[in-house]
Amino acid sequence: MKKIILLSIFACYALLTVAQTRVGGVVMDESGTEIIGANIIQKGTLNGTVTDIDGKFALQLDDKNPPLLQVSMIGYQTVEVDAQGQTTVNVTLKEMNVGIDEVVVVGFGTQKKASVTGSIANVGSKELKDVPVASVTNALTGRIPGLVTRQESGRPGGDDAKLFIRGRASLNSSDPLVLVDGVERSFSQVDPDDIESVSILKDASATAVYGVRGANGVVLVTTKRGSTGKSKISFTSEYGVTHFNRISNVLGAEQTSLFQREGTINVGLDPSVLSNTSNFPVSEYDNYLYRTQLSPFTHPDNNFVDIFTKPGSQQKYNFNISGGNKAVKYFVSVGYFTQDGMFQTDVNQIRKHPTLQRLIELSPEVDKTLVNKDYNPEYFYNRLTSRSNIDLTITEDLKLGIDMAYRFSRQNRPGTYDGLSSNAEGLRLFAFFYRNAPQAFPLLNPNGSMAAAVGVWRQNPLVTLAYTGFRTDYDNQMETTFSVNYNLHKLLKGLTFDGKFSYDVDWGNWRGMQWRPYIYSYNPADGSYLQGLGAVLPETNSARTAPTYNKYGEAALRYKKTFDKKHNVSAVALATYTSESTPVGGEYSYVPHIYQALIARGNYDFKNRYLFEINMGYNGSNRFAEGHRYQLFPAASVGWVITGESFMPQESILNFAKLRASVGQVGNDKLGSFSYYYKSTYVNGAAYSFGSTHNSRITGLIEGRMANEMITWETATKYNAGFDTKWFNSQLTFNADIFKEHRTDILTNPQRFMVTSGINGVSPAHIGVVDNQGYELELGWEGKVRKNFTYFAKAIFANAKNKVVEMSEAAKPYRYMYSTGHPIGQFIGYQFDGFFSSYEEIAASPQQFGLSNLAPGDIKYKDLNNDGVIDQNDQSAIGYSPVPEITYSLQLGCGYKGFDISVMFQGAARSSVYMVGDLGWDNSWGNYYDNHINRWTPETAATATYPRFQQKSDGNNQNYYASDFWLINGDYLRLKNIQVGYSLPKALLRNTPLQFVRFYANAFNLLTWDKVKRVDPESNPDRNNGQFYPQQRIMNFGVNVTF
Amino acid sequence: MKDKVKILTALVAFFFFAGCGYLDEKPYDWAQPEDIFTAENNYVRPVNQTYTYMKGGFNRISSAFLDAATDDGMCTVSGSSIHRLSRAFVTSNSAVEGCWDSSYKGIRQALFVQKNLKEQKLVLNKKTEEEVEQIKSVYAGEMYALRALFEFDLLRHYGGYPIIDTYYVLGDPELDKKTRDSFEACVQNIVNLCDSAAKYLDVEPLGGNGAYGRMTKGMALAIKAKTLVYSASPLFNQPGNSNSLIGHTNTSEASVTARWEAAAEACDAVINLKKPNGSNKYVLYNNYEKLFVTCPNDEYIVFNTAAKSNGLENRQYPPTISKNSGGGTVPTQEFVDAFTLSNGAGYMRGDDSKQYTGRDPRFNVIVGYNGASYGARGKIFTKTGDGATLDALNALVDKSTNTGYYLRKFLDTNVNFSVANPTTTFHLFPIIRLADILLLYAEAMNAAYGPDADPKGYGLTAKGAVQRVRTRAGFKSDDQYLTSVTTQEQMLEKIKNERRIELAFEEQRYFDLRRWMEGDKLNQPVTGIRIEEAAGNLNYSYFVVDGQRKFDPKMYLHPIPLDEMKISPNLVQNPGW
Repeated sequence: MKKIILLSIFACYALLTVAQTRVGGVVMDESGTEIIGANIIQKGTLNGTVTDIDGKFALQLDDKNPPLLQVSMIGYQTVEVDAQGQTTVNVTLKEMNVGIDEVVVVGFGTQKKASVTGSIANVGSKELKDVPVASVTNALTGRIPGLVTRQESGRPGGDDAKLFIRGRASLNSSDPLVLVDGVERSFSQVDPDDIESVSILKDASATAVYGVRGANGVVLVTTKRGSTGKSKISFTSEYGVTHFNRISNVLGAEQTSLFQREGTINVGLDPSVLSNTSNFPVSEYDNYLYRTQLSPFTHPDNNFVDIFTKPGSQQKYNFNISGGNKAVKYFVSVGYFTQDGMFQTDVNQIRKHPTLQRLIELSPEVDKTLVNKDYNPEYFYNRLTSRSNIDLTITEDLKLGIDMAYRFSRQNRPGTYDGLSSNAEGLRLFAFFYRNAPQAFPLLNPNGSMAAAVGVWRQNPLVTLAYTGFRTDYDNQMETTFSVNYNLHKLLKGLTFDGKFSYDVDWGNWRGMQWRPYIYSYNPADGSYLQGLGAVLPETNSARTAPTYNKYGEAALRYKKTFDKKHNVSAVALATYTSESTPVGGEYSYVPHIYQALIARGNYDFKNRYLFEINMGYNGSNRFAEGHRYQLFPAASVGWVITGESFMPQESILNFAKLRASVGQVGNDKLGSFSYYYKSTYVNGAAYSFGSTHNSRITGLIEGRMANEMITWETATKYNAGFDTKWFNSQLTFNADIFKEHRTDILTNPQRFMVTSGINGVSPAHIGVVDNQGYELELGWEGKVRKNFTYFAKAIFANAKNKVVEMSEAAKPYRYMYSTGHPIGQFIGYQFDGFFSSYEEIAASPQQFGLSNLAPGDIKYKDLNNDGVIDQNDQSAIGYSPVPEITYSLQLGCGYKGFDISVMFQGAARSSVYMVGDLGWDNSWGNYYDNHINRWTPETAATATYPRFQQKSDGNNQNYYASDFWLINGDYLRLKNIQVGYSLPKALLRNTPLQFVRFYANAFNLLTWDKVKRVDPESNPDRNNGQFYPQQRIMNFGVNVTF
Repeated sequence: MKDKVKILTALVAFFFFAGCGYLDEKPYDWAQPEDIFTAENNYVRPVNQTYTYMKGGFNRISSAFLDAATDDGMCTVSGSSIHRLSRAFVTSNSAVEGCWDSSYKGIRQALFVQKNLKEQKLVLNKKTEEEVEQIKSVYAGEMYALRALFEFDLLRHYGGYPIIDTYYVLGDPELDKKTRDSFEACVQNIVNLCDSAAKYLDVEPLGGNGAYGRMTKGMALAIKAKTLVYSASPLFNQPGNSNSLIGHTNTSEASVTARWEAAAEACDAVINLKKPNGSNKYVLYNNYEKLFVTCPNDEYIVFNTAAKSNGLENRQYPPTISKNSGGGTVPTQEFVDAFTLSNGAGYMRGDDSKQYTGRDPRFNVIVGYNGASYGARGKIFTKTGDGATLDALNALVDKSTNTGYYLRKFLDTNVNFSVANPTTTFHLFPIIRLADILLLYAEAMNAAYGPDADPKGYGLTAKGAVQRVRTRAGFKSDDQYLTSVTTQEQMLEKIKNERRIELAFEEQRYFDLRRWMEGDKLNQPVTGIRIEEAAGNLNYSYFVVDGQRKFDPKMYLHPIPLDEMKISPNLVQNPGW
């Protein structure tokens, strides 16, 4: 027997040797570029090979099987070639047509894009890496129809964008649910190099599985994993330069002086009295000194922006290895990002500025003062990220996954006057550019002491930036996931079980030092110094920030089978458990926030033609009272692939068309901080002291808000209809979606309740109702001219408009005064009706607020209720809300051989920016801008675009009341992103270990066209006081090497 | 098969586990009334809380005293909402001044305490059950007095108001049906509350001196007395009034006189309230300046206590001696002119340079003028021109005076901000003090019986009461303030002016002018003084500080908040709003 076996093996071997045919060739893409690493397998066997660096392969065919070669490569369509009778087979692979076999990540699974019936959009890793931003949230701008991004700050480490999916539909948080690899995690600081794709789930069908948390839409971020094949090492290095995208230059000292004088005279005050002119002199002679700068200590002209800003820089490195074999697949990545700020904190640099050089020249004491302290107050942000995604195949049926990610970040910034505040945006760092007139004070006094103006002692930028200490924040984020996948085909064919457990910890600490020199105001009249702020001795502090623990578990049963080759059935049933806790600080903080859910989804399609899907999320949350904790969120969707029908001609300009529609309900429980609204509270009240000594202050105790046992989540009923089509050999893509959402039971703090009852407050109740509707269009073209030139264009247009139907607004005497009926965040104010041109006009117009000191050049408001008096009752909805209703983008690109270029324009419309206070008004703190030049004066009455100047602008003066005069159209169009790249020809790399080398340059926020001018149009209106870090413009260069 | 069973069992177990209720974790620190009112350390906290709804008057309305909305004062901060009030720029949804919210919160808290004191069983360490009951009844009495105070505040703002005397759950249909009770019923209710309080409370507070500030019998009596004076005042006794919400409907001369008589009797009960040792409970403090920074003192009856502080000095000092503020509320020239001469004769403008000498002894401690002494802080100057300081007229926006005067009253001039750790001092805000009661007594006695009569034998005539106040103020025997007074009308004018000076900036004039129906005084510009120094000479001139002062007749009563009107259709708004 043994002999026979041996013999037969030998025979076989001999047979094989004899019968083997050798086939060789080259695999290329359509442009003729050789493809490295393409798989060639003889069909039906394990016999295969991989193309080498020249795209060449050679394979001994097994003659027992047909000589059919299967050639495949990620991103290309797999082809079969019959090698019968050939020894050289050259294969051209077509790039995969997006949408045919492409798989998209959906909630708790993946689906073929062609058969998706919900509204889901996704962005791949390539597009995310085109944009040189620190936070990947900013790379999503303009990529996805219906995703509104708002970048409100440019602070290193704090510049991530706020995301709104299909605008806003809740009076509470409209933040979408963000999941990284299926677990709720922040993705704003994930290294874009680690991200495989980002999916945005928009409609009820796509989000119902997230039940109570899905109503605001869901962002699914999937990180990269290894795949079978040779190890691939990729290294990326980038260097970028950052500038403030917008920073408003104020007018110079002489102009400021002239304007201040005009405003002082306008209100009938004597400009020769210092206190009437923001405490700086405004005579002709003073103007002469401002102009000539002959006396910079008494008549300075500081250009703070010029002195205290600089270009920032950023560097990014990523090194990753991926690959795998039958047993193990891996993706391991290490990334480092560092960015420094655009404020100049280095005294050695500041002193080089001519303004300070002049002071040094005049006073040696100034020279002695201007030295760097021994700490670093610079703005910077460092981020070290690492990730290791490992897949283990234990047996044929059992697979395990171990994912770990660790992120360490460090933020540094100057100290603050308010102690070591944790409010990073609350610094006055940006405000001081606006809160000082250029002549308010010299930066230093002749005796070398720090200077400031009387009454605005805290505003010297030199002190703020370089002489106030520093604060450093450290943050650690650890994310681990263990997953298991068990194929239950033994039990039932097509059935699998998978589970996941993740444990994330976020912890950090900060340290800081605060000190301050004495600050004086110099009085040139008698040479005396008035002390404004006393010094603060160095004082250090540090603390741990409360750690957050997140636990997540998931178990799923999946079933997938095709019957009769036409009935495709798949189903998923899941159970999930989420627990979040921050057991330090705050009421109830140690009680974890727990969610439980049972989730089910069923898909059925007939011949990939008629598609049906049902989704259900049955959720529970411990935010609510027993009996109100669980709810079922159902959704259903259908799809019809018209092009699959037999009546459609085979050869048509329409290559693919799918109609789809969905309806369902989703919930939102982001109701503010975690509170047991369903119980009345008895909480600490105010302290009251008795007795002749008052030693025994006892804190009072009050009934808190009244309970609302009915508290549960808000419900969104969503409708969506759309189509996906491809035309002209799939070169043209045209997709559209139309949606409508009715959000009810929005938990709202009732503004109206009976005060006579004497209660201290009521719990929020299910009062709010918001409607949200809109549409999204996406049109794309991908084409090729001859062999080497490819190009594409893609346009996105989206509209989402919401309307508050009910929100228990405080009572108003007139209907038009209500915000209800308008979008969330609608501005309310008076309506501008021109400037008064004469006293006669003032006398003939409705009496404005009972004021008797109006003069020509003041703002006239409309009398909405026609009662002959302008008062609080003449306020109405004005302008739009701060979040735009329309967003659009246009992406263009082309490639020729190794060169490629892509450009993205992005814009938004129908939003308003409320420009008041520091940034809007004349002389809010002593400053004027360009737009104030065309103010009202008797001479310019006909063409004036700004009211007459006042001695000082003040919200209590009628010109500065909230009105649409101060609302600026927030429309903008941006050259958001541009990228130019060049990949070295393969031929050059032939004799190196390198497989791929690419050089590129890209830019972010390069050009902006808008009407806001002084700040970025995405700025938050609350930041009018300048207490934020302006957004940045980035120019970046990089190289990517793969070997 | 065996595999299948294993797998199935595991799956079922897993899903069963996953389906278990993990949602029942509860916060540990939920305190409910049964925990609070039975705990030794806690039961007094809700009691104390009720006191926090009492109003202090130091810069209460956006950096201003309420008196800045009268002819006495002006706020230096241009952004203060007090200007809207003084210029009649108020509506029912933005009334600036009102007490609907705070009063009803206070009333509910008091009812909450009374309900739970009654219902919860309290056991105290080393106390017998009787002693515990005694403590409970005193606290219940304090709650009656506080409810009376809150209701009095409602009464003088709005007239009749919905009387809430039960602890309601929100949504109780009975609560939803509440309407305003008649003015008369409200007065009676306050009187009843005060009587109940007086029954439970002693002359001295529970806890002795350590409880100074807790409601006592005298406080309840004082609230009652003041309520009855308001009840008798012209605003609520308008002839021919048929609206029972805004005042009495029976305004016959006899009934008004009877009201004054009741008021006089109630005032007398306070003035002659005795301590257990037989001496008077309330005594005028011998130093008018130090009265306001002395704690305890025997003149304050109802007052808002506070821990020691120096915030008031920082706010009200002239800028040169303030830490980083100044100004705040400042007196007007009209107020300065209202001070008599030191012999009690009325002041007539003459030599401007001499107007700050030879005046009412209180003048120097109430008003900071050009050259005024701030005790240990030295002199301050409001003059402009040569040698002007930051205290000069309009020198610093929002911080320097805009009338030429500073308010010196209430301040402890020992507070020195030029040292590292400035001292602090007591600032108790007087809500009712003996001088107030004496002047109310004088007003009631005069209206009921005339300036010199004491038919009921209270031992004090109207004139006597006024003179007692003036004597404490420092007037000597040559005081001729009342000597020429013979008629009730003359006497009333003297009482009114005395209230204006003695109780200046204590939130009295705002309400006094209303109850006397002298709104026209609020309908006139207020003026200030400019003193300019040039070449050693001082030039005096007067100017209008605020020419937009306005008073509408509807402002005699305050508007019920619009929100409340909308949510409770049963409520009837005050006339004109």
